[in-house]
Amino acid sequence: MTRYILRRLLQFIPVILIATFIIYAMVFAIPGDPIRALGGDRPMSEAVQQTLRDQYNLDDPLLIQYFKYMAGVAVGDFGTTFQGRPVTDIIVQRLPVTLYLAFVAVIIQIIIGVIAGTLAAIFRDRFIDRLVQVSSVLVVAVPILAIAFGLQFVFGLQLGWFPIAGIGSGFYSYILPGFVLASVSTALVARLLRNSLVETLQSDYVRTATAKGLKRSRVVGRHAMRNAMIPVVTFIGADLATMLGGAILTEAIFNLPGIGQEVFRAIQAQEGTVVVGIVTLLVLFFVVVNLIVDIAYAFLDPRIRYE
Amino acid sequence: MTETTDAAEQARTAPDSTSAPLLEVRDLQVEFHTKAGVAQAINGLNFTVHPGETLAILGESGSGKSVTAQTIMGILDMPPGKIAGGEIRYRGEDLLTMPEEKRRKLRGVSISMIFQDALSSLNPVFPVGWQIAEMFRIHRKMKKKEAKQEAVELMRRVGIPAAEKRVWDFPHEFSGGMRQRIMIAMAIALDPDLLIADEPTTALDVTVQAQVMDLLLDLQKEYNMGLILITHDLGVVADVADKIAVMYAGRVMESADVYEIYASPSHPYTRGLLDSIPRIDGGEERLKAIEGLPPMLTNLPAGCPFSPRCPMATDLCRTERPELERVVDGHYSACHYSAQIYDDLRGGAA
Repeated sequence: MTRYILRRLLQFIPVILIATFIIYAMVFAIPGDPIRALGGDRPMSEAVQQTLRDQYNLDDPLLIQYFKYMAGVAVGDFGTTFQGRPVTDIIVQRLPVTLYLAFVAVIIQIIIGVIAGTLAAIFRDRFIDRLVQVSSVLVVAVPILAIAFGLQFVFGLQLGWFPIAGIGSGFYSYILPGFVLASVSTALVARLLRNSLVETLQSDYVRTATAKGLKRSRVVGRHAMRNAMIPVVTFIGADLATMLGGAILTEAIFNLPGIGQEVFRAIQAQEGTVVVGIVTLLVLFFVVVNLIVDIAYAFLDPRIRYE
Repeated sequence: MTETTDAAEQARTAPDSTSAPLLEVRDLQVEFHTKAGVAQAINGLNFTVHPGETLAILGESGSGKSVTAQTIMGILDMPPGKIAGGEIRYRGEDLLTMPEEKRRKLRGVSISMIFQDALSSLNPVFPVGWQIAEMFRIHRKMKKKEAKQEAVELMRRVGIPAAEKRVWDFPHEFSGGMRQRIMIAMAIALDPDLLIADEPTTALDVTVQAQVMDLLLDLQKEYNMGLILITHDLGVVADVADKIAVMYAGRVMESADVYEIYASPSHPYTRGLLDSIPRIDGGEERLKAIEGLPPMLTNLPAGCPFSPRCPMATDLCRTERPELERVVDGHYSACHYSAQIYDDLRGGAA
């Protein structure tokens, strides 16, 4: 197991290099001059422009720029913005908002998804199953914007239960965005668990558990559930990493100052250092979470053994 | 608990057909409602098991053997399964009308079951020792440590080497024979009165089959359990059974004690089965197979279900279903001509 983890950690290096290079090249390829964009309508002297270009290595070829940047990253320096602010600062300030949002979303996803999926499987082909199936298709099919505006309208404006923008009210501020971010994943968890549990409930070992004289609650809750949850846990883990990237839209709708918003702003401002810094972090997060999911998989399913 | 122990103590004599029956199946009918129609899996099934007795239920695939076992255990999938009639009396009490909670407490405690495929029948994510210990923890309210000790003891009893070390291993880490021993350990954990073994050795290597069957019979004697052995293997049956019930299309075609069945099979189907066993001293070139296929359960023939394949069938057989009737004491057959077949055999043998 230790060897497996070490090997996986080594595999991180090429993954991160390739991912960051692609991002860097894409930012590099955005047409327009970032320094001119920085100046906006105001004229900027040729000397100032040249100083900035030198400072950010903008005259170097792509590969040289990239390696100079990565050399900094390797020692924890993600560079600075055109305003001279360290990117690390921005990340430290913005990341907690996004993490908080993702955390709230995952909790919602687990609680609602697992309850709905379990009920649907137990009452298979009955009303509650149909309800879960239809509503999960709806949630996946309806554009996320519509869900977001719908929630804002009903629970924010009409009922006034939750704020519709900003993070001024602490935990309450994250409820509506949490639901929006979690919506599609919750529907997918419910469907995945429903199908997985239906299949498990028909398995021979569940029949054995019944033949052992166990109560139905124990047969379902322990013998079937422990098996049915294996694919669900894997999905939730992998989805958590995706959520951080997907938070851009939710953060924009609810005006949350997270890294999603920041990355969006940086792309518009052509601030390569910020974009690449944040995306590198997300890539890193993604591969680490995936490793954790794979390790958890081995604990959940004893038949899986890593060499 | 004390009640069952007392009853079990009393029953701890040699197999005895005169004592009160342990299990009586009376006119059992089970249907499956499928898209293709209603399949009549069990059509008026009758048999009796006494304490300490081994009843072998013999039949081809689809004859209703496994459905019978699942119906007795109360683990039939309903729907699509449906019990359309009859009763299953355990120590005189009808299991089918018993409240579910009461019936659950009999499962695994008084009546337990061994399945054909131990790999799929054991839960892959729990250690085998945990799965055995669960019996003690749930039904005997034992503490974890105590229950584990019992599990190790049982694993030792069923012949698992280094049981102490292997108690927390998972099912996939054992061989097929060892897994079936673990299933057996789990089934006998609480000293049941009746054990149902559904093709317990079919999935095993031939060399292992005999060992597992020997273990099962040893334990049966030791615990004086009634045993219902479901099999299609005539070889196994001859060695181990006291009584045989031959099933076909959800009915018992013939039942008698094992010597009687082999000596004077009085149903054409039983004779066909016995003729299909390869004989080491047989002079014949080819095995005699029974012609044709078993009937569709969704569309059973009007008369005797075996009549389309029966070499002796007459118009009577095709119109009127024969009931299971006494041929001689302890020997029953569901054939209009069983008395005749019996007499012919006896006459020929004398």
